[in-house]
Amino acid sequence: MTTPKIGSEDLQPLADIDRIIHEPARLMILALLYVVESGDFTFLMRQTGLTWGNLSSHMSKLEAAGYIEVEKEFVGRKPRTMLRLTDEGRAAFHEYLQSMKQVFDGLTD
Amino acid sequence: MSQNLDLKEIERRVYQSVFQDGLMEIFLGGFLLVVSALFAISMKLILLPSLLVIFLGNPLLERLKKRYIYPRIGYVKLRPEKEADPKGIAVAAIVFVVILLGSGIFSLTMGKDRGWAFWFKYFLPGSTGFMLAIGPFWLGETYGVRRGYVFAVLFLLSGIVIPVLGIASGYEAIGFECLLVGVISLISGVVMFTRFLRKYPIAAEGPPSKGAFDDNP
Repeated sequence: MTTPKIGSEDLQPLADIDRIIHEPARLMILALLYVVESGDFTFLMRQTGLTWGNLSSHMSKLEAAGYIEVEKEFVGRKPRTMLRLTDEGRAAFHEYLQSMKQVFDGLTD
Repeated sequence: MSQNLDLKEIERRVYQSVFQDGLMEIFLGGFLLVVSALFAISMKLILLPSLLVIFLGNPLLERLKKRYIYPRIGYVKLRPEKEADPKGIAVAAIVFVVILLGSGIFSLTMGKDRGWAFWFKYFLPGSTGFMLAIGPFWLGETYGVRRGYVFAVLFLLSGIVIPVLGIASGYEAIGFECLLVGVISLISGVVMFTRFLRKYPIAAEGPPSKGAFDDNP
């Protein structure tokens, strides 16, 4: 049985992968924000199962990368932090999905 | 990792989490029970609760969600294209009117008196059941909420079965439809809400330390 030759060209998308997105917790966060308009901290915490501190840490990195925007507001007397993907974040996530699909589609079982 | 990233599934789970609290079922059940009671008293009284639900229903539901739901599972704003489309609602209303008129014309082929009696006994409750089924069906189709399909089927079947079995006909049959689906909806809503409150305690209101989110590690 001959193994198909995989050259560096086929693996280049992997080398170029966005490392901000390519982290399990941040990938979960972005996937959730991708399918909704916006969500608050509690929603993301519940959906991802991350602790508050962990989520906060990843949010900081995503915000620093310009992938999410944060809006702090008060609902009555209670604070609410709303998060949504920026246009840049949405495009970056979409590109990430395309890259990963390209890599996995190119591999044989 | 991303090979298994199914965005459709993630979306479906998010929508299911939004509709898991049972409040909508409680509202629907309560409204239907009131309507069924009013059907028994007088048809003219039905307009008032319907208007109250249309204008006050959503604000009241939102108020309850702010108090009991959002502190537990958080707040999410769904994408605009997933919200109720006024054009879709208008189309559904037009379809309902067409069905009513069409069934009326068909009934006339039996003769004026017999046709009217047939239309009133069978087509009116059946058409009403169809119209009431549209909302839950849309919920199931748009958000993947399977309970929506169950309620749609309940509405459709009750609109057909109640007059066919001779339980009631005409407006009485509509009242029975509302009673039957209302009871089921209210009970299932209360059960869901109770389970929801037990499953999700109120989440912490803020980060463990002030400014935690503002720090860049």
